[in-house]
Amino acid sequence: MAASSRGSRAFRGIFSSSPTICSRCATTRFYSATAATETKAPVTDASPPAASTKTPYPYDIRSGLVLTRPPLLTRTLHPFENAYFFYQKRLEERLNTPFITSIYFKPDTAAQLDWSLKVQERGGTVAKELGTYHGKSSNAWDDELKVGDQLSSQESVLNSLLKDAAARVSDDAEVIAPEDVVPVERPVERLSEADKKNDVRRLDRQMERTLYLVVKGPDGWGFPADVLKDENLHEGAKRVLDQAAGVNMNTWLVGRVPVAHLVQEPVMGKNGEVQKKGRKTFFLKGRIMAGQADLKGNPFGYTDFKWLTREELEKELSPEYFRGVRNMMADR
Amino acid sequence: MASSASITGLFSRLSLLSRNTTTTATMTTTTTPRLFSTTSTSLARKAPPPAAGGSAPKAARRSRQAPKSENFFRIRTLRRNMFSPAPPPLRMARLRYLRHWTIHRAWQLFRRKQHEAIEKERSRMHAGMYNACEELRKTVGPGSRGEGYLYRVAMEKKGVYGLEGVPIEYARFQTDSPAKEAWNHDWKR
Amino acid sequence: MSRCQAVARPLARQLRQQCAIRPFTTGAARAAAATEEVQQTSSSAAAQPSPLDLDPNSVLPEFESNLIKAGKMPIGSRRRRVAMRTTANLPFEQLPYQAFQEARAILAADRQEKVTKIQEELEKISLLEKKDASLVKGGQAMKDTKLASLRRYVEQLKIQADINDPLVKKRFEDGLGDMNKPIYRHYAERKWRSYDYRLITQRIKQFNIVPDVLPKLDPVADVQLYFRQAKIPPGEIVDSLISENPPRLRVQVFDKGPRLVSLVVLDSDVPDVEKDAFSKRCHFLAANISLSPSDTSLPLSRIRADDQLAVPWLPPTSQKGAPYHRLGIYLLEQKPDTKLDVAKLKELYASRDGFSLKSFRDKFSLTPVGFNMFRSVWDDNTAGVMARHGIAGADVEFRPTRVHSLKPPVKPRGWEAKRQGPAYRHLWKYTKRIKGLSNARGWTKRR
Repeated sequence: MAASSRGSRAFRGIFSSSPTICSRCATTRFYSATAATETKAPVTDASPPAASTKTPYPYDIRSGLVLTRPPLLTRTLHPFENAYFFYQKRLEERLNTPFITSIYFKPDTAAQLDWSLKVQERGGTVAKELGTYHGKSSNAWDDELKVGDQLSSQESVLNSLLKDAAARVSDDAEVIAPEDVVPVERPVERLSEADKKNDVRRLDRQMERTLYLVVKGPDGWGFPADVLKDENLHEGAKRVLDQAAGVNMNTWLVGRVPVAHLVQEPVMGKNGEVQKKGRKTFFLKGRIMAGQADLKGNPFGYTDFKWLTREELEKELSPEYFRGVRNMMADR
Repeated sequence: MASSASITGLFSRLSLLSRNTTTTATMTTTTTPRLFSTTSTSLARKAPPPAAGGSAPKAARRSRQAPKSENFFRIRTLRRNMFSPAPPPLRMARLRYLRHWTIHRAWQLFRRKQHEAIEKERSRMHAGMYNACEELRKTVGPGSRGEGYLYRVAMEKKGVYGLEGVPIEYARFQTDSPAKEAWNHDWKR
Repeated sequence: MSRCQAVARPLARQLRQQCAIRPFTTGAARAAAATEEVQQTSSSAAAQPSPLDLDPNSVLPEFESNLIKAGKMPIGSRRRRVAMRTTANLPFEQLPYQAFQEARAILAADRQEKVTKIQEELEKISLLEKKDASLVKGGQAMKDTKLASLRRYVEQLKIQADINDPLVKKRFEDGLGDMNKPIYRHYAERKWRSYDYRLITQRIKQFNIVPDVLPKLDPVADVQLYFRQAKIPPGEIVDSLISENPPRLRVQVFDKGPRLVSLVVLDSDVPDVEKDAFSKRCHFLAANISLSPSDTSLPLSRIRADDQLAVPWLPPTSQKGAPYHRLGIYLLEQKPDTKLDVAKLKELYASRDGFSLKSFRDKFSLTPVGFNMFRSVWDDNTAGVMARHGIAGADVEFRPTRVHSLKPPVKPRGWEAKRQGPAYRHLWKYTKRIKGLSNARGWTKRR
């Protein structure tokens, strides 16, 4: 578990304790030791390759968080998928064993009357979403749906299921009049109010896609990030999130491993000294389960936030920024 | 024969009765039923005892008449239909078959493209992670931390998996339609 | 059917064929028009017979009797007639079925992708060709390998672009495919390899062509043999009268471009009495025959030119009593753009006996690509054929030498046969009834 950190300490221990080391130990590479730096200072230099005596590291190490809201809805089917599923269902009607009502419904019960009424209305077809089609009749060959017919759409399937779900026969086995039939409550629309208004601050927008939190800082739009202050990457990311976007979000940081990085090279002067430090930003992935971002009182100077999909991010972020983070973004 | 024996027996009984009555009541002139045969009934052929095969139809009749459980017919129908032999393959005219072939090829291609897109997405995500980790490995850590310190810490798996790791109680799977309150914006810690 | 519709039908058929060349046309507009037509006609048909109902191709069941009384019989089944009402004038790829049209859209998009990829690869090929070999890592050899693999990939992409097209499949199945196009060649090769190739490889093995004539023979071209319009399956025994005249071949090659081939008809079983063995004889030899995928007909009788025919046709004849002669037809591909000197061939092989296909192949650097064979035995017409063509040996009858078995003589089998001796005198009335054994009648005659 903590073997890796022990390894480097042990490595340094070997160096400091025993002056003579076999060549194999000298050249064994642990996690991060590049061969060049270690072989250069084998025995004589017992101190770790620190920045104290040498030039300071020219990069600022920053930790950022890509907070995602994964999709809440299943994807819309491609029109070919809808057409294909309908086609396959009609073929299934041609091949299946017949539906035997007596297995499922006891004779002379309200449920059985309800079922027979609905089947009769569908023209004798048991299937709810296939229109009037009999797979074993002499017209069974005519099973293909014509172009432009909306019967195969998801909307039509939903309507047929809702129509079938309504009770047409009361518990006393009396047929309910059409005007008295209580329709089944329709499910909520997939396009919410936020979609219609295109409110980019709301999290119930674009529920089929992943949304990413971007904030507007002094350097423009980007993911919340800050310089590490004597902490690890995941600790830093957590701190950045709490400070920048508030604690009123039920979030989960997915592990400790960074998913994307951005490197800004330092500006070197004529003599090789560093004029402006470079930046290495490592982003961790987080998921939000509930709540909303709140930029009030954030110490980074973030003024605004948005929840954007991948395509919207491409337009919002600068090209090199987007190229750095694009790989971690899912297709949907 | 059994029936005739019984009939003759009946007749004999009737004749006996009638003879008895005639002996008791001399005045009555009852016509005794005349039997076909002159041989006595005691000499009549006796029906053979029921053979061994007779027990099976009797048993079958008995089992058929036995009371059936409430779901007997449902279970029988279910058994016959669930485990029926496969239907014969559909036969189509030539052009209809060509249309079916086209739809099949398109579906296979569509699914292949879907799989390839998933593979590409995965490898892209992995590449992003890998490159970030490579960069991290070469980074000299914040403050006095050595090269790759952050990387080694990032590679540790403490608290990543298991009960403390993944918050499955907040997991939401994708649905066809959103909830009435699609997102709780007012959640407070 | 109205006059204009009757006139328009052949035109529609022509248009259909023209439209078939354009791949994956999306016919949404025409489909909508067709559905409108259908709705109008169906509403009017219920009232009285419409023009469609008077057409034998689309008459509905209720108006069939009217049509029959008029003297015209309905064409096709009722199912077909109902389908024809709606879709008669549409080409196949524009039939307005939802799943079919969606599928066509997907396949058309994929075809477009493949075509773009082909264009990219062709550009890569042209760039690499222009590049100097010294600039390429690995020199000329690597450049050649790269070019070859790029070209192979382009061929694969060409096939992938067309393989999902239903019209291409239908055209091939109808035999109308243009063999100059890679997709039809691909289909043809696939079909050949599924059965005919396996058959010919089986014949090669069964009749021991491989060790006897050539050490290795893997056919790459489809060679079909016809004697007088009848297709002869490989290995069949052909009457000498039929094989008196040279046959006709139909050769289908599956790689593009023309090439020159040599044709050899070889009899592998000419009996040699002195040596008590068999030798080979050449019955036909021709060279410099040009073949291409679209050019399949190869009648041997038409090969008469001086620069093509080396050894004319000798009718295959087998002497009486000899085992069957294997007559193999070998197609050997010449090196690209190399013509063989037919005069030299004439000089070398005019005496047909002792022809070695191996040496012929090695001498002129040929590769065997096609093979077919038939067999020849003595029949009633062979004497006549031999007389007409001056072939000696019609009066000879071969008799296979008896190879006596080294096994010990077999003891008599059977209950009665075992009990023939005097010890079974009391049973002679039962045992001395074996036909041939007991009474010299039947299969052994005591002379």
